[in-house]
Amino acid sequence: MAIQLKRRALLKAAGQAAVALPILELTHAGRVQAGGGEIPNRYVYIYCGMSAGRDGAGTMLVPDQVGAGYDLPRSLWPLGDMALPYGGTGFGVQDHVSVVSGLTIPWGGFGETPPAGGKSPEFHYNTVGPLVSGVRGESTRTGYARGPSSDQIVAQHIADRSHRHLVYRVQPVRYVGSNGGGGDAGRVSWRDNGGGGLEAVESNASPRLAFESLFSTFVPPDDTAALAALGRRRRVLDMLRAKTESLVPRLGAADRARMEQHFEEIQALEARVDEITDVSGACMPPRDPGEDPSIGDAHGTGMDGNHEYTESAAYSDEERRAEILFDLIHMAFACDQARVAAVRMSFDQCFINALPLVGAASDVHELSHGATTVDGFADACGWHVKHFARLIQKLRDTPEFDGSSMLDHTAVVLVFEGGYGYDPEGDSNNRTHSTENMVAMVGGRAGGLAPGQHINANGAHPAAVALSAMQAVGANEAMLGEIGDTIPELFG
Amino acid sequence: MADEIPIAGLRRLTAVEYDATIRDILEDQESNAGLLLPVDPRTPFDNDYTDQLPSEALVEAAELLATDAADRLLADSARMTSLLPCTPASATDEDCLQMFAEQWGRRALRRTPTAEEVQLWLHGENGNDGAFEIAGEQDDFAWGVHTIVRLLLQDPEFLYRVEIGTPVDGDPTLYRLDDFELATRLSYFLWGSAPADWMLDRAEAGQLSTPEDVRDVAVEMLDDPRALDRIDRFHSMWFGYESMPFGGQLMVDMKQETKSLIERVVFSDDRPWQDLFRSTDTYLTSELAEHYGLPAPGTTAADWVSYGDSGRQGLLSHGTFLSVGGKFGDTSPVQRGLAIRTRVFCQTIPPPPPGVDADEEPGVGEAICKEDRYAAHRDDAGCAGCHAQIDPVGFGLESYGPLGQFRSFEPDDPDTAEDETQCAISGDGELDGVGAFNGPAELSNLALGERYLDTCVQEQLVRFMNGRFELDEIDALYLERLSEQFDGDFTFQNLLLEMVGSETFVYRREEATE
Repeated sequence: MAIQLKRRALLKAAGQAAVALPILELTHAGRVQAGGGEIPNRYVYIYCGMSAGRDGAGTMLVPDQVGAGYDLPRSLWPLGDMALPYGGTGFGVQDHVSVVSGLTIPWGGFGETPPAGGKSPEFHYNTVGPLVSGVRGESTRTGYARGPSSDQIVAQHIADRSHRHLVYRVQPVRYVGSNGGGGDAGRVSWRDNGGGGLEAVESNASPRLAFESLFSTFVPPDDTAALAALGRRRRVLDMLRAKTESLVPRLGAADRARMEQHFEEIQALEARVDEITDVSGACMPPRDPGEDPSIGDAHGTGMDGNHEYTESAAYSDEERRAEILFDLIHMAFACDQARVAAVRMSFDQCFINALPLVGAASDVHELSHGATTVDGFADACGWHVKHFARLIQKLRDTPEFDGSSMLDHTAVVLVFEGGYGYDPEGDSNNRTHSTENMVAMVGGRAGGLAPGQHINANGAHPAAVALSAMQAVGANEAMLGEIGDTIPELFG
Repeated sequence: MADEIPIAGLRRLTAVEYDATIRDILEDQESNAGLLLPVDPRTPFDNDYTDQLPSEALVEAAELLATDAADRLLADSARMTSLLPCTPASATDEDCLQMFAEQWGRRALRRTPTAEEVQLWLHGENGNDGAFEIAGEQDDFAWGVHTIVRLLLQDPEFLYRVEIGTPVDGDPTLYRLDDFELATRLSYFLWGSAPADWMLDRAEAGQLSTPEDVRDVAVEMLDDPRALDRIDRFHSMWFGYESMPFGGQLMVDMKQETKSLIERVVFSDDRPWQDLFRSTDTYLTSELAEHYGLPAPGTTAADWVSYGDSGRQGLLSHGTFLSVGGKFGDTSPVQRGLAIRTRVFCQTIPPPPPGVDADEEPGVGEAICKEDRYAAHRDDAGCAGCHAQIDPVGFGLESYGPLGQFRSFEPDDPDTAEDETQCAISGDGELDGVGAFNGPAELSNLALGERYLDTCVQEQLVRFMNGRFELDEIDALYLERLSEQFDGDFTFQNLLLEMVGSETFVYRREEATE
């Protein structure tokens, strides 16, 4: 077992004078390796706030062939190794990814309680709950989960308190003349609050903050100046904790509950600053991403009154934001700082400007409803798949200490807000506002997953895909919310 | 009175309030909290505390923002000097550091810090591990200041607006706020920022206790430019033009047009607030005048220009307001009508009935001209009830495009083969059950006549003041009294002063817990 050394004392000493620094205990990756422990499993859940279908044009993500060696429709090109129409080439990970099509979230009548795992007929801001938690929504639009999300359940099985739980959002604000977009609309993760209730987990939409949060404490043991800076930070947090603790009991009951939660987060931050992380093997702090890309304005409108898509409108460099956030997840896994991550790529309706992403002059939402070309929409879907594939490639190419690949111990789930088919809200067919023909993808080989297949799930609930992935990484739950089905074909 | 005291909970500074506070207490214009803090939803206001969650993302963002601000101060010796109340004799001038902690700490916490708190900041929990010691280690007094700033900008009493108060006999849910808490409640309502030193002086002297005291302070605050910014922002979030669907100089000019009208009506002339909707002239640059089709101001700078007989009148004629509710690449009579009914009149319109897809443009392929296509809404019995209240309101403004420009014919829709430019726009609209109108002037007059705007501004202002969208029975009682008291034209300043100068403002009601 590794030596336990309190970093706090060390930081204090480093802050007061230049001292001879002892060799530190290295937590996380080093601990796993040094201790000869098992390689941990990891789990990533990625939610895209868009349908993978376009009105009248069908779904974009479904190969024609079922089984291994499936064909790649345009939106899945990032899984292959061909040139991508919006730049770059695919990531060559098709053999590591299974595509599950034919998924359905059931729905109830207007004003009625939906069936198990289901939703009311309304579409936008109404599928995230059943998707992430497997629990049905209310009788009207329900933009939140009513049960813990799969990432939180998995974390209870494969992570402990020393691990970070990464909850990120790529699209920082909602656009289309609507500032903000906070609250449940920006969330993707919900957890038990320990008191029989449920609480939302705020998403971090700042790459800079995500980097600082994970890697600002990565300080080489011989860097006395950096250690002194960490020591000063730690002492400020000490005082902050003391102050906050004294404030809590003075507050009214409701405010006290809020402040207790705030206090717990300060304590957790203090604990994180105390930890030393190994900078060896595959664990290397990524390059500091610097300041966040600025947040874009709403859509442009030309003098003729029509939407005018310029490179800067409704765009906050989601390309760069996605790259950084997924890089951070990858490296947090490599350093065993985290074993679970949940990512919301976009708000529901996905009003991100597709022009700088894939060259289609429209927001993604309008693309799904017929703007510009089918290929433009296929590429917008492909952009989401691209970042999924990029992560898969990084995990595949990262060796564990025993020579296996990190992807061998990981399951990455990708889901979309909607599919294609009957729209119960509009009572019409061949629509993108549908939870028929939904598609999910699973990358990785954890727990015997046998990727590289296209599986037609014949109407299974998409939470069955998540449940399968959960079980693969060791979260041996029989149900995800109200869904107990799995997709056995994912295991070959 | 007691039955009108609203429920109040812990409120985090919004990103905009955070930046304004840093500007005011640190003379620092560079804070950009919107990049790091969890996004503030608009409901329509950005300060609904029921949507604010304590979270890891918040605590870490607060730490990074605080460190950034402290670092910027450390790098700016002139600003550091101007903030210090003394000239440090050495890196370890404890008296000077303590003086800074006491004086600036009062700004940051918005109350006088206790002696124990100051000792904690200077020397840490163990008595030898605080800002003073860090200054010594660094051999630089500025590092002591840096530490205090970094710490206090993470203090929950900075990050949140903490109200505790004193229990009120006979009602366990009521608490009387102290003078400092009132200064803070007042300053964030009227300025969206921290109380000024003179307000804290007043609180420290016990001169901010009674409703009369509060009212007196508020009168002085309304003379400060921050009040104009705040009230302008209230209107922009309420009406929905805080984020406009286009940028550039035109947007800047339009926002200035509306702000100038608010400044004139609410502040410089202190005229009835209703004059925002009666104004017969408007503040234009030459470019904006040309865009609207109005006479140029005749000056190089912006100036007031008469609307003449253009059909325009007041704020509902501004490009800011007319930019709200576009859809399908043009004005949407439904979205505009809905925005006017729900946002501007505070009326309730039920959601679309089953089987309606609001993302589908009405009547495409059935007719060329918009008015004919939207007629489907009113022909369908299931839709007619609501759309009779919505569509005619939007069609009454249809002569004004999504950028506020006047037009007599529809623009061409590039997504269709037809030539929509042959479709004449009548601009005829109706406020169901009230009367017909054509254009913003007539709509404004009808709405003012029905007091729709008067009652809605009171309702929205209560939401904004309390930081809570949902109104409960207590709020309803309060609003009922307010509506009776302000029956007819009123100035916005008088409305504000009544709200902050009443007994209800100096108490808080404890939230019920589950």
